[in-house]
Amino acid sequence: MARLEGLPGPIREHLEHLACPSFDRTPWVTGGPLSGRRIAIVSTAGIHAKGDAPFIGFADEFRIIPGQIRPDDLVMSHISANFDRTGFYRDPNVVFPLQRLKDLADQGIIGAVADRHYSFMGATDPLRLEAAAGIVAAHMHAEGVDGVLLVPV
Amino acid sequence: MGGLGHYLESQNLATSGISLIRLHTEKIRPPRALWVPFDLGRPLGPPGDVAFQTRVLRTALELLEAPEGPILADFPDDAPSTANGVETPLQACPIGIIPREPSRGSLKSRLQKEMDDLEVGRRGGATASGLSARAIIRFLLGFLETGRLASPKPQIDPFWLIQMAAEDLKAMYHRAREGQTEPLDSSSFSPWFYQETAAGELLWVLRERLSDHPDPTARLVGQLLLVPIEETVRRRNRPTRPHVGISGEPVRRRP
Repeated sequence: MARLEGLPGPIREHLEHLACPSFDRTPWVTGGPLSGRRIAIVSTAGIHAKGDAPFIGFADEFRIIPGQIRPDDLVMSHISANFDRTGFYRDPNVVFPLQRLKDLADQGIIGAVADRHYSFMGATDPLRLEAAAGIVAAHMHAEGVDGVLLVPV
Repeated sequence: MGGLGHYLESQNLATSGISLIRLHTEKIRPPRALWVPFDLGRPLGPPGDVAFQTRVLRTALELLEAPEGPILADFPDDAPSTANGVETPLQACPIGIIPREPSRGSLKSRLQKEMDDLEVGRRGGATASGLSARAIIRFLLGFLETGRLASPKPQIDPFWLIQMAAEDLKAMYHRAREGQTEPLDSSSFSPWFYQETAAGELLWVLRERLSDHPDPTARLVGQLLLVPIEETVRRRNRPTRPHVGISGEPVRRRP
């Protein structure tokens, strides 16, 4: 499990000493109730549509994942060997909960599911993702997204 | 992940994230995060458990309605499969047989027999590299046998293609194994693949070959990205069978 004390020693030590970016302040955006929001998923699992260019190495780009993608058409090109992929192999919602999000929209718990979702390579230094994040934000504003679910792997 | 929360929120987008490593989230302090005590690789919990995944998702999204922050909340429950220590294999149409004993001979011949027995690559499915199982084996064995990288994807750095092809091969073995009469639970797949199969052996040999390579990308791939740390520890502590090279000769083990 992802409690540090439950991980094998070398992985725990790596994660404990992994450099994390620091920020002077945390931004905060308010909004309306969840039932009126349009939600997009941002994944750092290095997933993308099959046939789309894979992430190579420590890529600082992003991929767009269409909201109508079939689960079998999702692939993962994350570079790390040190996390379990069997859950994703069996059920992509474990990493990219698109169907669960659609379920919540059907139940009226969220307002709508975005037409487009986004993926990054999670092994890349987060500081190198700022420019791509700015482009993703512009895409989201153009579509009327006002809530973002961030999902690591 | 938390860094993206900062960047997107700074662009006037409200974000809520799942956190797998609480320590990292405490340091980065994104606007809203829900820490979950699940396995790395499973941020929503167990595959196929719609009710549990929905609870996790809804709990994370409800943080968007919090009046002020930053917020780091804790999901209260372990994932069911983790709590029980088992995960029921998915049902699939049974095919093939599971080789109990690795066949003798060269790595190439053992791979060929194993892939035939398990029907690897015959169950369809997309790959990140876009390569078939046979093309991956040709590429990886070709490098080991000749030292040359005859890349079937010239637009991708060949050493990164080795890493990508290795993950695709694992995914295809998982798919093949799911179709067997005795599919594995999630915690058994990696030990089986790396300690019992010829394909896993191929990745160990590649690891040896690349770890001392003059190219820095090759070294990175060899030293860190082909074999999980957990499997190196497992092999060191509990060797299951001889570690042999592509012609069947013994090779030294990297600690």
